[in-house]
Amino acid sequence: MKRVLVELKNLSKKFGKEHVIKDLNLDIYEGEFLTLLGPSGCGKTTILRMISGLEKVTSGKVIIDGKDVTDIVPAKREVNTIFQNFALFPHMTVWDNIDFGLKMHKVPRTEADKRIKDAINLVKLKGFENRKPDELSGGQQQRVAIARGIVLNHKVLLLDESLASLDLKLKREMQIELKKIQKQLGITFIYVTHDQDEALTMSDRIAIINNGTVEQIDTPENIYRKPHTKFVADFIGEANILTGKITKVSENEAVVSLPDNMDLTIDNKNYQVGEEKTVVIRPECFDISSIESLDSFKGVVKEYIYDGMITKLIVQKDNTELRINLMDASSFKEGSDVYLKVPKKYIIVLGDKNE
Amino acid sequence: MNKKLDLFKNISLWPVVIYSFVLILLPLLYILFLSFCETDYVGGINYHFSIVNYLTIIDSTYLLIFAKSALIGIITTLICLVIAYPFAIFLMDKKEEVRNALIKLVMIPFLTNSLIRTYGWIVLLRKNGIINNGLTSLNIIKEPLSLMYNNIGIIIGMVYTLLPFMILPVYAAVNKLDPNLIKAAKDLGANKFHVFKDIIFKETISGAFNGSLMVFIPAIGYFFISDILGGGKQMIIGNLIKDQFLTARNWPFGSAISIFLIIVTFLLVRVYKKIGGNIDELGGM
Ligand SMILES: Nc1ncnc2c1ncn2[C@@H]1O[C@H](COP(=O)(O)OP(=O)(O)O)[C@@H](O)[C@H]1O
Ligand SMILES: [Mg+2]
Repeated sequence: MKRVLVELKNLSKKFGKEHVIKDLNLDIYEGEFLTLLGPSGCGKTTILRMISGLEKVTSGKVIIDGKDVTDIVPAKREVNTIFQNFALFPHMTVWDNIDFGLKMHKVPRTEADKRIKDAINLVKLKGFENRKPDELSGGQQQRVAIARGIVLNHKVLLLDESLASLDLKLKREMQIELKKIQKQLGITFIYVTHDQDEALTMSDRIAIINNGTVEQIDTPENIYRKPHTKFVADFIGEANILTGKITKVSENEAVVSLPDNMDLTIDNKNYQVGEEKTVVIRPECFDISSIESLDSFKGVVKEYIYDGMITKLIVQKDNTELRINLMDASSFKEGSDVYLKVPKKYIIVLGDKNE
Repeated sequence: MNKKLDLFKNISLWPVVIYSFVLILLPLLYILFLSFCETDYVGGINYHFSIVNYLTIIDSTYLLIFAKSALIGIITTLICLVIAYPFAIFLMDKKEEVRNALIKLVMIPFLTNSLIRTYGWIVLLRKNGIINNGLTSLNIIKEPLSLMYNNIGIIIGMVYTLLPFMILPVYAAVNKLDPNLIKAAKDLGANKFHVFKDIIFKETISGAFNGSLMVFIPAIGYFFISDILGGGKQMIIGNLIKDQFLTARNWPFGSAISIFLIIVTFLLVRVYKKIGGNIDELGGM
């Protein structure tokens, strides 16, 4: 069983009348890479700051490593933060920036020097020790911030949109490197982002935050394949979200009838006829053909968007637009008729309890 | 189009140029010129080149006045720093309206004549003034304190008059500080003292230096404060210069001391640059 390292219990935060975090519960395991993912303004930074102590909690508890730290000042908490704008001290060199925390913790000089050297090697900044932050590129500043955050050997590192300011290519590189550093050190990373690709790439688990509460917490794969709510399905990746009614049930299968005469066969999980259901179909989950077959329904290609690796089609089925992504769509021109099917294993029915 | 705009810019700059030339540069050049002339000891000027005035400055009696005056200036500057920083830090996380309101309060004294405000202090500081009467009636002290006609009086007057010149640049620098730097320092284990010493003060040193210059230079020059609250017995450099121009009628020597002060100011800026300060942050000094 994995050990819980950070525990948020019934955490609430109000700024004046605005209730930003609402009775949030979250267990974070030792050594995991957990991402808090959600739209801007949903409260991610606030959650992070309550863990670091830089924001006071309105009610609830923050427990780190079994110790209730709710009323303990940031300086005494065994966590470190990497800020969105890095917050490197401009008047200090790279070396002094990394040294700052060690000095504050009165780490003996020889030990401190060794740790700084190790950290500098880890983030590949050898040779830059005497530069000031404004003499470094964005990526290098990022590395200094990481080194400064890990050099204290604390068990938890908090990262707030740390890669947001980097350009796409550098961002991809740093994502892989961050993950590597995290594995190598074996410490817990709590990473905040509004970028779903980033979350899916790096995380062991993702907590989807919506409106100050945890909407779902799961592995990246499960978040994508088995979203529990419309919000999660919509926020992560592209999705066709359709609501209809169960019209037929047999022993193993059921039929959900969606608007515009789309009947889909799904596994029966104790559904009742007449029950309303919302289904989610990812754009890459359609079987598409120009020839009619059993159970297929007809649509018309309305838009054809070439996007490099994949081609995006928008198919009009009566009044419903369906988004479909294909590796090879050369045989489907705009305006042509297509016949669609969805294998039932790819149909996500919301509201199903965890299997 | 552009040419017209350039022309307009040129014309609109002329009043400033003329103002600076006539009211700042010309008098300064005149003072510089005078400082290399000699007095004829009856209030007139011998117009021939001489460095005797500068040699007189090095005379030990004058050096003593300089040293005492500098000490008063340094103490005044330090007291102003000690008041300005907590004030600026207090304002840091306040709402914008609160900050603006309090900064306006700091500037209100500028609306009345500083000479009159200095006379006001007599009512507070004299032997049977408000402060001494208050303290004796509360039995905190038995004998009234000597708060004026001495160096203490001068320093009180200087701090009071010059404090806004420290608060404004310090506040401006602290206000520009990225609050995340302070959060980062706390996050890395810094206590309040280290947050101030290692982050806030180091990051706003240009504001502190700027304010210090704006306080120190007047603090060795504002002769009226020394006249009123020091009782005229306590000489500062400002008194010395004033006396040369008005009493001793030795304009060349007065000019030389003035030029000497200007040189000291420039040297201070050089020192600041040497210790790693950024001249641009001083705002055109
Ligand atoms: N210091 C503050 N004072 C008032 N409101 C705040 C403060 N910090 C954050 N908020 C509000 O709390 C909400 C959540 O903010 P934040 O945690 O920064 O969101 P996120 O990081 O997810 O974008 C926002 O509506 C924001 O306006
Ligand atoms: Mg944020």
